[in-house]
Amino acid sequence: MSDNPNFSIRQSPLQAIIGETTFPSLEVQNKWATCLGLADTSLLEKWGLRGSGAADWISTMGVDVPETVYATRPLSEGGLIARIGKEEFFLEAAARGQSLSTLRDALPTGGGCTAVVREDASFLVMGNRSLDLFSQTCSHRFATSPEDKWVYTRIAGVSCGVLPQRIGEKTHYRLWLDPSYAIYLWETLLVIATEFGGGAVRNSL
Amino acid sequence: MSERLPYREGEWIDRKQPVAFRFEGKSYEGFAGDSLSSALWGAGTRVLGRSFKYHRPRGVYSLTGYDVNCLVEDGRRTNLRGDNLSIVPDLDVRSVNTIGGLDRDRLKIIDRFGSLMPVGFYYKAFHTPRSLFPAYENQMRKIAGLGKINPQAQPVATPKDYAFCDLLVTGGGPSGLAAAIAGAEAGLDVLLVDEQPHLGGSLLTQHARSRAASERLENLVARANALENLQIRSETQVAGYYADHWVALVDEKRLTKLRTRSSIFATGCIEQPAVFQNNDLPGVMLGTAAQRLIYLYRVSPCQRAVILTANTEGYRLALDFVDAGITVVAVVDLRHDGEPSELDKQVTAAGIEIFRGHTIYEAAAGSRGTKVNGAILCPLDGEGQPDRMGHLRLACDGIMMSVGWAPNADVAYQAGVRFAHSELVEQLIPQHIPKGVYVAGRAAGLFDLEDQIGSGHRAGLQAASQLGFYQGEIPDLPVHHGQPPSHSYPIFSHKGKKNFVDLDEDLHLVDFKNAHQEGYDNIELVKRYTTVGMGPTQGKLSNLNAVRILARLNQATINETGTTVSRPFHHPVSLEKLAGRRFHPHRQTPFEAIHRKHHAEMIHAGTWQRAEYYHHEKSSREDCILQEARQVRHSVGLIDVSTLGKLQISGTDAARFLEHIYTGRFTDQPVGRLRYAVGCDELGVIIEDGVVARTGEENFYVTATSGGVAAFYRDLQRWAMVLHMDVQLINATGHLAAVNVAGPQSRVVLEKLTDLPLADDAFAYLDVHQGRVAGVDAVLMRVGFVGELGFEIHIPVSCAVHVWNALMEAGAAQGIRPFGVEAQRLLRLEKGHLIVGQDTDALTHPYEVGLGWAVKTDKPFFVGSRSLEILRKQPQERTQVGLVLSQDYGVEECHLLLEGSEMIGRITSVAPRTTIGEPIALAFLHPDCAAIGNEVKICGSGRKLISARVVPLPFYDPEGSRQKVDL
Repeated sequence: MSDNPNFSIRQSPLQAIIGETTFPSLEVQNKWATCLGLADTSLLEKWGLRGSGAADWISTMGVDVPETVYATRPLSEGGLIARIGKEEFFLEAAARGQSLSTLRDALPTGGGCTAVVREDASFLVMGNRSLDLFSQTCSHRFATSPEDKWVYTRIAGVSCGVLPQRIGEKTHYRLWLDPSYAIYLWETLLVIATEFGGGAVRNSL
Repeated sequence: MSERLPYREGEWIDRKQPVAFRFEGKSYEGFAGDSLSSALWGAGTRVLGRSFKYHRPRGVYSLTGYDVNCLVEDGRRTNLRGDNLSIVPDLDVRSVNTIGGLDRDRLKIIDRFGSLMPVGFYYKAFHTPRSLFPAYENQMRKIAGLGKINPQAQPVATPKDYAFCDLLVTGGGPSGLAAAIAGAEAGLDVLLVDEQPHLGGSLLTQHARSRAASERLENLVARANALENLQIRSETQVAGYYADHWVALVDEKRLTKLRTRSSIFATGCIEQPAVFQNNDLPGVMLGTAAQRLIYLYRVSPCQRAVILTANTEGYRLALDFVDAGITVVAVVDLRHDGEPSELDKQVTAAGIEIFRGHTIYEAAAGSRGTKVNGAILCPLDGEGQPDRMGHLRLACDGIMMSVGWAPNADVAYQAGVRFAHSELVEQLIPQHIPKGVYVAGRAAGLFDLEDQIGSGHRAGLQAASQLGFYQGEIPDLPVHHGQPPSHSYPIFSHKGKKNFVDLDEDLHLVDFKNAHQEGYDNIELVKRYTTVGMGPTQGKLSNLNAVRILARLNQATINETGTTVSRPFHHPVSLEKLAGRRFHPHRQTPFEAIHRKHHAEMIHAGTWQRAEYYHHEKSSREDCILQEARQVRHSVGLIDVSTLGKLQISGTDAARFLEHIYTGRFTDQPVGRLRYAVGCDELGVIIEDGVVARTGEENFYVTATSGGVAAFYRDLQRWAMVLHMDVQLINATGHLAAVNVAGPQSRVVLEKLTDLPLADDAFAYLDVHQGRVAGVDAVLMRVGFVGELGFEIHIPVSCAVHVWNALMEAGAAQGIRPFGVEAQRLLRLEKGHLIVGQDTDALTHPYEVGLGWAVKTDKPFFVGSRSLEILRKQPQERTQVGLVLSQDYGVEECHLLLEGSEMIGRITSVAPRTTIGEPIALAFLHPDCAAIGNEVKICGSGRKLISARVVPLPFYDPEGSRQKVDL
């Protein structure tokens, strides 16, 4: 992966509401994160690829291609690739400064591959009460969802991709959604998280 | 007067926590754990409410909430059931359905005229003359109805909740506990739900005297609590059961949508009343209600009791009274042979007189008619009816009824269980049970405690077996032995017409006989004519007796008569719980904060928030809009058009696919060019429009209407499958932002931010180029929606704010300013551009709105082609025209155009103030009236006729010279 050339000008769709947020002390954030923390990970660069030749092309680029639909794999330099359809892939960089441009720029015209603009908002839900948050907002049973397997569902009325991930000792949940819904969903989830004794924490990714 | 009994282990009240509350304006005291009904009864209050129709006094009856004798409101909530309402400090409630308070209810006089108001009287009495019906209705509405909604009450947001389990067990009695334990021990994820605050069911009351039963309960509860995969939710109602084991659970805080894989109903039975004269007087109650008072709340039901029974439970009840130190005057047994068990001897030994083959003919009322002061007994004749010749009166202040049961089966019915009457138990028992559903305990007709536990255990194993968690043997279903626990017809005639069958609706025995005489001999018809079972409790205490009465009147069996079924909800559910926390997803463009910083007035546009216009100093809305429009006409403006639908369509068949979707041609579209595109449905009605940009041989970028793109995209996906074409569809609407920099100075502004050549020969009108704007990858399209030189710039949302700020900075010298949706609408109207959905309706086809040029009929197929071919040959009934109005006020969208009294058209868009100086409108008009220069009349506001003149379209720059401007 290369450095992201637009690093300095990119903004999270939540910029207007959390850009100026003064996060509480690390101690409080850790407490919230243990209970129910929400972090904005929208600035991680994303990219999509679709088409009958997509899997083969990604493979030639040295990427470990998930074999089944909704499976995910880590990228060699961090980040992940998810197979979100039979012929569709979603990729995300590992850190804000990273770019997927190496792959993006190498994509040939035609060849059964189409690049997909992915500017998803993304959140990280963490803490012991994560499942309680989902039980109030989503009809999917996350308690039995396998880790590292992508789920398409609706959360508080918004279509989301959700990925349960083991980070350290605990299961965290990554959410991706249309960025135009980001502020609505963030504020909705934050109200519930606050009721549970959690809150917004600084993005650690 | 306190009616509390001494402390007993297992009581639900906490005597260390007295709770003060108010009822009907008076102060009372109870204990934490009390319900309103138990606390009032414990305080010596006998009248807890008034009945629906006759406003008769009512007291404790079932103490489960299965009657509505005690309905109260607290100012915010109404129709709260006193049996289920826990008393808390500061509780202040009043009885519903009274005028002047509970004691002095002025409507209690209706009781005296009951004979004038037989069932169905309103169908007959108020039917004619029709002219008087509004007056009748007005009065009836004032009198009828329970509870009043307080529109000022503040809504409370209740959480939504979704839950899942392998096995739902409804009912925490002995069979439910056994079922849940069996299922959980087999490995199922079990949810046990009980509507009471404590587990135990009948073990807490009917078996409370038995030490062995208490130990059994302790053991079951301990085992249940020890199982990690068994979750218990008390004080929770299973309110509704839907397809695929989708269940609505309701508790104090929320409604939970539960998805279970299987379900066991261990819901027990609801004790049924006997029907005799004045069986609704305060002091007459079900035996289980008395047991609940005695064991759970430690309140004495009365001082001197007469027990009417037809089963073993009545004898147990008598001994419960004896243990509590309450005098039992007599046990009146409907059975001529009496009780066959040892209990008969125990009751006799306790000095209680037993009247076998007798019934209570009438409950005698005290002088004020508000409580029982005696029971009139009669021997039963050969037909099971009272023989008045042998009557005698017993002084008492309480009559307890224990004559039979009906399964608590509402939710089981909803789950697909069908019940049939069994003479073995004189009760409805399950006959057909769908896969994945099981019934255990009393609801299955089992009254022996061991049988109940056994049937629960069996059901739990069955559920585990069906889900693949258990492969062992399934024990046989126990069968009831001995006499039926229910009497077959505990219903007794009386000339007084106050022997109630349905306490909700004040229906008595004669009401049913009258209905039958009038020909209502089917249970569904009887239900609707008499309204039995249609009250708040939905017939939990009345349906069975109603069926018995009808069966006897029809000389048929209960199975031949049939039963009514149950629909959700089993128990009333407040609307705030049904609504739950409100989720109203709305979309924001990345520029929303900028709009607000510029003092934008935001509006809802579908799911989007958009800037309508920007407040400018103290200018009016109209002035602000006009100023913004003039800025675009004379210099340069910037608008957020991110809400536009944005679709990427690629693949070897992309061009052919677009030709199938839209009316136009795209296979011959050069790369780097735009085309206006119209999409129709199969009827030829316009459903979409936008521009199609060819960005490569196999790549197109398409814009669509903000509100229509989601549905349109679904349509495209469907067509892609139907047509089997090599095409990739991507909806990038939310991922790309878009701005339109428009006005004669737009090129000057944009040149500062891009290396792309923007001169007319390099970037012509309707060209599309990909390049960088302010360092950001962008798609640029030269469009003219607002009628001026303009560039639409599409960029990733994460970089959108950067580009906006760069454009504003670059345009500072030109005085660039943002313009809103309203200015855009005005500008496009002046240019005569239509908006799909506003200037078109659900019937509009392209030929009506001057878009015939966009329909390429020489194509082999496109969506709507066949219909458009037909429509093209037919004479048009309307056409879109431009109008110049004679005045700048009084005309609004949808106003009609008239010729005499005949409608000849309607306004679709109007602008009273424009940059061209005249008020204008777009309208549909009959072709005969659409000649240029023709005068028409508009029926304006206040029905004033306003003149308008038909003019050619567009109103502004008909030669298109503004696209060539190069200042």
